[in-house]
Amino acid sequence: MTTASESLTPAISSARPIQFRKVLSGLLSHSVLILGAAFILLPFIWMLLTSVRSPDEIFEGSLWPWPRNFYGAEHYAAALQQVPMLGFMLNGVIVCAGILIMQLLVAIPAAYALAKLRFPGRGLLFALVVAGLAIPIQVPALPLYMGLAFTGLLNTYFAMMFPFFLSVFAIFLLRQSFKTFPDEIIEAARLDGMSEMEIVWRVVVPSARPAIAAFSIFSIVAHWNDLYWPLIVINDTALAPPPLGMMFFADAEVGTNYGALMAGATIVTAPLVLTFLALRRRFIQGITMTGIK
Amino acid sequence: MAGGISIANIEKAFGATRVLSGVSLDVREGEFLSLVGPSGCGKSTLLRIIAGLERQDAGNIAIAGKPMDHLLPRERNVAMVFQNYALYPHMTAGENIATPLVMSRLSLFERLPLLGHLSPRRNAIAAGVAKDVRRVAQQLHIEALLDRRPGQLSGGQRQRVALARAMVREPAAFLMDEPLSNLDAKLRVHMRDELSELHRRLGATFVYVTHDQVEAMTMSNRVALMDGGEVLQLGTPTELYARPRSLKVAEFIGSPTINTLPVTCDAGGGVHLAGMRLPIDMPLGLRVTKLALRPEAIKLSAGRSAPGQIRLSGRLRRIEHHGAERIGHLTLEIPEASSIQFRLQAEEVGGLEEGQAVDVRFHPKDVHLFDAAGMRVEAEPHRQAHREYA
Amino acid sequence: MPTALPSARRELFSGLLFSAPAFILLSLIHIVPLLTLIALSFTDYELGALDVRWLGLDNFARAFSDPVFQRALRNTLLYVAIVIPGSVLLGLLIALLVHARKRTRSIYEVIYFLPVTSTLVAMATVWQFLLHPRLGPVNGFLKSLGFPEIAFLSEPSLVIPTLAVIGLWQMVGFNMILFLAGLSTIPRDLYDAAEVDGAGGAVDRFLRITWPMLGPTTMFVTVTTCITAFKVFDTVAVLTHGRGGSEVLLYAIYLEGFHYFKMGYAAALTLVFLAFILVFSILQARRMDRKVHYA
Repeated sequence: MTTASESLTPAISSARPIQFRKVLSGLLSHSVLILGAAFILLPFIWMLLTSVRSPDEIFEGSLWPWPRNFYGAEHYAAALQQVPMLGFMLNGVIVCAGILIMQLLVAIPAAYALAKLRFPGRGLLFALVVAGLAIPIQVPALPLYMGLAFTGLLNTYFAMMFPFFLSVFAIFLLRQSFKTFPDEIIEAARLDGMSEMEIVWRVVVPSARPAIAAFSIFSIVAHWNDLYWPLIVINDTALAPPPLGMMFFADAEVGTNYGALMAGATIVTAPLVLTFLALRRRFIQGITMTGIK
Repeated sequence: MAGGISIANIEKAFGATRVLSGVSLDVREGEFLSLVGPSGCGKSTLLRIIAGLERQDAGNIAIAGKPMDHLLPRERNVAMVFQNYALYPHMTAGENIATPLVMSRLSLFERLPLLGHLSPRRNAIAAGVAKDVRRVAQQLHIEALLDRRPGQLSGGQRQRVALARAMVREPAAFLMDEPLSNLDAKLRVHMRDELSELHRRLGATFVYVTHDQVEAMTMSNRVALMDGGEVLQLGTPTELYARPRSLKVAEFIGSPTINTLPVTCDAGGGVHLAGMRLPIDMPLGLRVTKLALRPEAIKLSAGRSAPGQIRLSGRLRRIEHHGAERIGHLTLEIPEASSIQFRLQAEEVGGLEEGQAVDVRFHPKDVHLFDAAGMRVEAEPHRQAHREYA
Repeated sequence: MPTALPSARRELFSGLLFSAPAFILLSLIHIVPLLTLIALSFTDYELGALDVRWLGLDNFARAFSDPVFQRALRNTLLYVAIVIPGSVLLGLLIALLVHARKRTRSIYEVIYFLPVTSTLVAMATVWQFLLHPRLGPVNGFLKSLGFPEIAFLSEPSLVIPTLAVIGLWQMVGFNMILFLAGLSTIPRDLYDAAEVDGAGGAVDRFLRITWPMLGPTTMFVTVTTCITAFKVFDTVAVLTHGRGGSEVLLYAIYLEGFHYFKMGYAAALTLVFLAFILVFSILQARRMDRKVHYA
């Protein structure tokens, strides 16, 4: 592409080929991007379409994209009535909220201590936090399960939330954020008679709001979508969060009612996807934070 | 290989913002021309248009007589030194300098990683490139740095590597975009000297963009002062200093800034300053509104003043120490003008105190006059007999 | 200074107080379980069993001769081997194309990021339907072109590649965003300099500037993808339940530990899994050093 114009005499090239090349490369890149986008969107589109199609059409296996008979009401009603879909969602909200609140309550003071205070054990705590970053939940799952089994806590909200009360990632991220907070302001607050606790919550936290918001999005997305841990500690359908409920639903419904199943998938996916569409920037920032830290 | 640059009626707008409005300029072969002006005046955009990094909306660029308008930057045979040097951080200094040569001497295939080594002529060309890199590095005294990465170099060393990268291909013209602005004050003065020397030795055309009028004045053969997307004046540093074509030019060039005083003109062409008739006459029909005076044109008036000179009184507000010379700040007694600055030699200061009343004088021939539009107006030789003004 | 001592004591006191909950939870959630896990891995403990025997390294020896675990390991490595180059290179390609777009950039960003925010379990059921031999549109399309029906999720040679394509579908947008962040940190001047130096063509720009400057990002994206891919679980749990020879590492651990309650053996498998994750995490930590180098 480059050598051609280099080895030819420069005087030949003119505005028109450059324009032409630009249009051509734009066309090429759009077609690649649209092809990829079609691949990405295919499951979403098919999910929505199937959720409003009549069972006859679904069983025909037809490729015609538009439903002939609108059957959405029946499928969504089935998803909501035959399966406690709203109950799953409520469980998801309770678990995500409980986890996030505890994560922030534990991580914020610890992150502040690591960023701004000198005390024995600081180096050890930080080393443990960094080491903890590398350990996924699947590693301590076995002993944690045993502990919960021995204390009779399986099949509770607490069991679903407890392993996530401490987020080493939250501590690490907030420590980075708090470190940039000027020491002078903290010293001024001390001179004004504020306690350390007040300094954390009234002075430092408000300035770290973007980092906290980003972490919150990260945490909610991670736990709303988590299957592994609820699958282990919950076998009572009434307590299942959305992914586990969806799995129960899928196991029960396979081969019988794809329309309702797709309606269920739509309901489970909708809250996060809609929030994402509303808060695109923050969302992308929150989830990719792991990449920018 | 060498050649002047002709810039004709260049227009450029970014969206609704007009950046250049009809700039025309001829850079002579082998000259050091500075584009100077406040930030946002369009000087960097003009340089980028010359380089081909930006496309003009209208107008033409020719280098050595050949039209450049539809050529890519690499086809224009110009080299550019960027404000923050734009060295490739992942390459060593030597690789940075070699890049333009590698690009022009090796084909696209030969430049590919691994595959390129299959080409039989690649080694011979690489040896030639290495030789040229060493030659340029010697000229700039950076042979010892060739294996280091930009991150391991100081500001001045990076500057030299960037210069070497520009020099190595022996371009028709060097385009420099505020290359000294990231250096500390001391090094900047030193590099100024070195750049002038380099220009003299290479004899190539230099177009140099800066917002620093001292840089422009000290290094250039000619200076183009730009503001608001136009060239206000093009001339030698002396011309710009001694005969500014407009008040804007007068105010931009020179430090401390030129003093301006409001004046009025009567029907007969007589010029009045705060009610005083000055020994200056205007051609009939021309009206001036501003009088400007360089700080060195104003002298302390000890006792009687020389004939033909103009005298002003005021209160010495402050004396600023600048080593060998002092700058006096004088609050004038005339109501419309607040304050003027003038140069004092160290020995004159003895006995002077801040707050003291002093008289100063200046010669009418040192006065610059400007009309209401801010354009320079030449006075006529004085028609009346010498008079004295207090 | 009279205030030095009280303020130092205040820092010490608050520091200990503030970090105490974190320390306690860290011990309960990470340290004690990890030590327990290591201890368990040397025993034949089963949940509910009354006596426990010390096995030494037998569990590990058994794991590597166990055909099921061997298959799980092979499957996981195959999955990773497809997902890494696929989602890293595609993520890079899409990021490069999206980066060059001005008006449509945010539309593409949103579309490609959509799978990252959606619930994988729900989307897995959608994929199951999409790939259904009789009812799914993918086979419907293939049949309309005259190809025979393909059982993507039950044909043993296809099941892992199919799961990998779903994994790729989920991860490519995430990688694209990371690459876009990397691309935006490359100074524009470098491209200008390259333009003047004669390296302005698409190939030269990519090989001389974009690719080397993205080095740290690429390293990071690769390692992150690798760790995520190693943890593949949801799609297997929903789509195949490990049937048809489609076990993966985590699914094997899940079955041994939480279905058969062979805690000792599952603990050993977990440590093998951890070893893989740690190798990649260390690679990731070393990237930090390289990043400093360019600054």
